[in-house]
Amino acid sequence: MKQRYLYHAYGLIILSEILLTELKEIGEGEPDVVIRMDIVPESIEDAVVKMVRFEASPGAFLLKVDGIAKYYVREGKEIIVEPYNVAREEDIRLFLLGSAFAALLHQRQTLVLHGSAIGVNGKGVIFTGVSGAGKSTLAAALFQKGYPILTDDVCAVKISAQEAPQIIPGFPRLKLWADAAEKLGTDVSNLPRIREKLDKYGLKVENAFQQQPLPVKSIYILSNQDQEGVSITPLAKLDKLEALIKNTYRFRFLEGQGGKPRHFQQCVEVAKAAEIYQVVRPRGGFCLDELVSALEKELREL
Amino acid sequence: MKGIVWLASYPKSGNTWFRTLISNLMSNSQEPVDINQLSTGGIASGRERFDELTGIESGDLTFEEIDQLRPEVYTYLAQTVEKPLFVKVHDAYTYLSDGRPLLPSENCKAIYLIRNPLDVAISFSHHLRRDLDTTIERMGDSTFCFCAKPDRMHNQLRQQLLTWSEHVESWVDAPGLDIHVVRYEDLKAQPLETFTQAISFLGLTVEEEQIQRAVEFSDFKVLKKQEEEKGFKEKPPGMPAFFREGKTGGWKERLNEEQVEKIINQHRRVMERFHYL
Repeated sequence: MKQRYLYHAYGLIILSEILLTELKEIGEGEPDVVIRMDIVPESIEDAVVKMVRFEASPGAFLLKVDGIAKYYVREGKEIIVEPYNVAREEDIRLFLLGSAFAALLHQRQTLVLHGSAIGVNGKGVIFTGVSGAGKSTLAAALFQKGYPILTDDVCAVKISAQEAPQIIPGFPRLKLWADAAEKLGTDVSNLPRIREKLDKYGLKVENAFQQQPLPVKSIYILSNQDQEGVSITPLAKLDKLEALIKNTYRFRFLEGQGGKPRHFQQCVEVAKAAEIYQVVRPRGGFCLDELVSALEKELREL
Repeated sequence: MKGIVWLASYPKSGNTWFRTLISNLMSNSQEPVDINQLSTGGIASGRERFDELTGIESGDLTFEEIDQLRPEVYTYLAQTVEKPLFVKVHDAYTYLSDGRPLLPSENCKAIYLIRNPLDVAISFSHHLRRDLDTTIERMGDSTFCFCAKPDRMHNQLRQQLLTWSEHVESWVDAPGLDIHVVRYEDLKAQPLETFTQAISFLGLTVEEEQIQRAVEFSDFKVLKKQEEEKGFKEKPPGMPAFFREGKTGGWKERLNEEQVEKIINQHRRVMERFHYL
């Protein structure tokens, strides 16, 4: 019999044939999701969208990462992984925990934002923005200041009729580039690289991981511009919705899954419940300290 | 036409200027377009489009892995856009190890903007915030790239520029690529004629009056004034202004003899070919 592992992540109990060292292992439970190794089809029949490396139809999603693995995500319940021959384990895990998990969450009708999240006095705060905006670096800086971490990069928000939108904890790891680690004074020599050939490291934050969901209180959209100093400006009501749609993780995954109307409604709910701010820092040089102190001033008032 | 129009150039050779011409032409409005709302199809090295269309986070890939996927991203785009998509690009026209061009030519056309490297050097040194000697060094460096530090996430994908001469030749001599060369100096001296030729190369059907207005609205003074009033979001940090002088022949006052000689020695053949010598 194959070795199997039981984990908890994104509010789900996951039974996996693949060892996922980034996730929290648990003793027992009825699995919501099964991850197994098997043959994956080359393509999805009747795919609604067919992009460069992924395709999707309602309840089915296929991603191919050349040289690493094919991931087939079904009905929000199952991820089938077929690694390529030479693939390294950490590489297989990386795209499984990134794009494949995001597709799974989309299928489970969870709102998935592209961002990192922390807890502040029992409330959830999300940092979003385009790739390279500094989401993970900022989360890591605030982790150093003692704020609990909810998630890095893939941020699941649960919308229900019963309660305000909740950030569902992901798993306790931050991804840090070498230059960001240096700015944070974090020694990377003892940290695992997330991939052999990348100068990017996995920082475990188990001790500071927020295990319970937190209501979404504020969302900060990070960007940079040619300006002096850091500015933090609340978004007008109408702009909030557009910002949420724009910062949805892999919006195109939704197109094939037929989830766009629901997604829109979910964004409306979050826009109602949360304040959204545009955070602009000067371009050229991250000025992390300035950004952190400007944000901490805001966070203290939450 | 449909598909991609590559707006290709070495940096500081009039790419943004040409994009304002195209934006004004396409908007066909009675007012100049806002330089902060240039509605062209982004830059080829943009990270977001890559991530969206591949479904893979480019920040988790090596430079080589990204390059392997880039041709397919553009092929997909070129096949699916309904209108011509004007994509700015500073990458040189290079090929992957399996022979595929990084930037496909099928369903694509290219406008190549070229500018006297003596003037490029001055503008580029402001852009890079480096002295002229360093800048000239880079313009002669075959390994020169943008966004290539391996220890961080750059806001764009890595771009190989090659030397100034290699950049020019990689594009204008690319086999099978439908390309039209626009000299910055011609666009400056005879904007209407030069832009009209580019438009007819692209096969766009527009009224002469429309072209005329686009040229007026993209006059350097108009752009500079807009920047003074509202700033320009594409301006790199540390530069006082993006639309600085926009003139030709400024090198005569700024470069010393040695610098001129160095540029000419490095780029003589291509400079002669495009009548800069």
